Amino acid sequence: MPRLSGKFDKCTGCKRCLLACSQEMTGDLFNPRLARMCIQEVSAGLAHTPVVCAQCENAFCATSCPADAIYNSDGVWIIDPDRCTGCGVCVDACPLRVIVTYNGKAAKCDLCGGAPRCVDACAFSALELA
Amino acid sequence: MSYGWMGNLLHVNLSDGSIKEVPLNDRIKEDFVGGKGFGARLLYDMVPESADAFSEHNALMFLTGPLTGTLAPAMRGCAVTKSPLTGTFVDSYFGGDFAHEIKFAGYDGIIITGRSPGPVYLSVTPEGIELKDARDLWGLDTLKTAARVREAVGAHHAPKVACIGPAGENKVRFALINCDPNRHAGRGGCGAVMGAKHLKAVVVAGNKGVRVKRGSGFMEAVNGALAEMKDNPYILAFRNDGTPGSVPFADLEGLLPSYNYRGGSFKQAHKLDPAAQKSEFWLRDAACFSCPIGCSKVGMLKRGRHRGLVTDVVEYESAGMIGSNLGIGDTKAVAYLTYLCDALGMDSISAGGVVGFYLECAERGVWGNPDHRFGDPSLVERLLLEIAHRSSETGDLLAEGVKRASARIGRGAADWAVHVKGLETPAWGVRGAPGMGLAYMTGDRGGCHQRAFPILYEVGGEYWKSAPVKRLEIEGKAEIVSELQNYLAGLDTLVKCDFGQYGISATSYARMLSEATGVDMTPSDLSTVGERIWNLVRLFNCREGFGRQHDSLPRRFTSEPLPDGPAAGHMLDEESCGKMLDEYYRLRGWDAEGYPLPDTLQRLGLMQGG
Repeated sequence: MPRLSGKFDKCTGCKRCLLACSQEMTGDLFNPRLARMCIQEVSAGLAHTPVVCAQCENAFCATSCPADAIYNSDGVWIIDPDRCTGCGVCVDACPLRVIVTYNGKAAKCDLCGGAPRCVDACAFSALELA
Repeated sequence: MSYGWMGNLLHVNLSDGSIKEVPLNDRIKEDFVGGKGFGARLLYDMVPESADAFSEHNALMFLTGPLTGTLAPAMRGCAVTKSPLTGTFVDSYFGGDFAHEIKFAGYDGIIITGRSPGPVYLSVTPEGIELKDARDLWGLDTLKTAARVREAVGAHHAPKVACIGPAGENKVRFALINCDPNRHAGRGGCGAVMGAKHLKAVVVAGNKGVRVKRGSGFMEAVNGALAEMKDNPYILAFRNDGTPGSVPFADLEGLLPSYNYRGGSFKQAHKLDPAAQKSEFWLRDAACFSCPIGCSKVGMLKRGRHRGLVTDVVEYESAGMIGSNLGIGDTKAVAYLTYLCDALGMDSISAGGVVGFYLECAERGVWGNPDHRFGDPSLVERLLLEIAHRSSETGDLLAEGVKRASARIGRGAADWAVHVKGLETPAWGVRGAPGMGLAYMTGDRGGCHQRAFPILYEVGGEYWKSAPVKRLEIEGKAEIVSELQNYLAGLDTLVKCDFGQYGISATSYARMLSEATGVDMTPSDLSTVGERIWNLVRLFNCREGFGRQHDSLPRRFTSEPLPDGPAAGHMLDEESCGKMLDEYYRLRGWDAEGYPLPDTLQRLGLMQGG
């Protein structure tokens, strides 16, 4: 499975990726806080860094999940909504802060099944699936 | 369930500290849509006739539109109030994140009335809405204020701040509101009204989502708009060069003010253009929230006194007003002086206007230090500080704007006070572009280039209704101006970005709006909304005593021929202005004094309650 990555040298901080992610997860809502990624501002606004799920080898989210709801499928960590209790441990365990809770369940980047909306939404080529 | 709109306004009365939610009714949504439209309706209804802009009777509003906060490309917000600079209605637009955050907090706008006894800031977060003590923030510049307020609320909320600097606190009549991240509701003194209310900042963070009615139709409309923008030459130019891309054009065409508008070109213009800015500091493109253009540039000055300063692109208006208009041909200096205006919280257009006015006074020996000259960045820095803090006689005088300052100085100073209705004009000379002159004369907030920009047709070569436009012709310009004003006022309800609209068609705007709200509107409906707004704002201004005699141009443009450029020798004499105005009033359905006629108001549904 390819990896998603963000480039601070291209990112303009427009956050269209976050809105697309939010709409993808919720179906009809726009709010960057509902995105399963974030944009970090660094050096007094000198740059913005897109932060995306690293699909870690040692995934703290999966390891910390008390319900064993996070499993690996072909290199992508997926949350099983039937097992997820929405306890929020994975949200706090993720050092990148890219897991959110929505409607009582945890939600994380699943690469939109291989065609991420965020990459498509970026007009500045700051997100790459490679 | 509300679509596009969040359905509520937040009303905070600073006098008694009361906070309440006011539901939007269907009438205001359909007649006025949002942004400028809501502002026009609410200001007319809420602010009593002849209220002092600095009194508790004035209202200050932060308004969004139904497309703000969504994937609709390049949307913004606006601040609306009665201007302390002009005494008219003023709407001032800002990009960045702040307007979108108002939607995420669950509101279509925040209305501030009354006046707090002491400095406060308004905090709107998922934890609650409250007024907080801002005594320890009073005196801080805008950038420090925003950082401190964000810290107080907590980074985990990712809060967005709108705040004032010392200029707003000291009621400098052209003080701005700095909106995260360093975008500005710049014109007309909205920041001074905020200062008069003792409101240092508004901070907002919200967990609510903006919902659209027809999701797939909305995304089709958004993708249509994006496709239009993709190869549009104006959009590409904004992407590559930002607004200073206009510097070489304006210089060549004699439209770039120099030395307090005496000239229309500047020998050192090439030192302010995109190439100069790139070589001195640009590092990357920056975009406002949900904007695919990225016309802003961010970088770090690499040479000179201010080496290491992280700052934004010197926008065209600042390059013109702080650069050429003050005789400063040095990107580094202008970048710093513009940064200083932002940090002190003053509109760089008006600041360049008042300093240019002062320098001409000094040069003529009419006021101030006769040794003061154009082209001196250190002097301009001192003057900006004195204005923001009102810390000298000259600074205190210039803080009032050129109209009041020239009246107080006398000795003919009004002859070189360049303003319309008290608003210092922006960096576009009009002697070689009569339609632009009419746009200034009739601008609802005074001398403004954003209500209509006929230069695009008169000088830029764009066809108007499939026909070329003669640059210096007087006849026919009124039609261009009035129709552009209506169209753009319609889009200012959404709330559109001035640059985005170069690439997005009327059809796309109407489609995105219809799909988002479920209320179907055509491009022509949007223009009608714009015309309704334009007339209601005119009623507000007429109620404040404005009429034909105020729809005029400064003497510099009517009586002193342009010395340079392709339109050298031209000016807009009183007779030409009168002809354009007659034609304009006729097209608008206003009487010869500029008052809307009953039939016009009837047609636009403005007869009752307005």
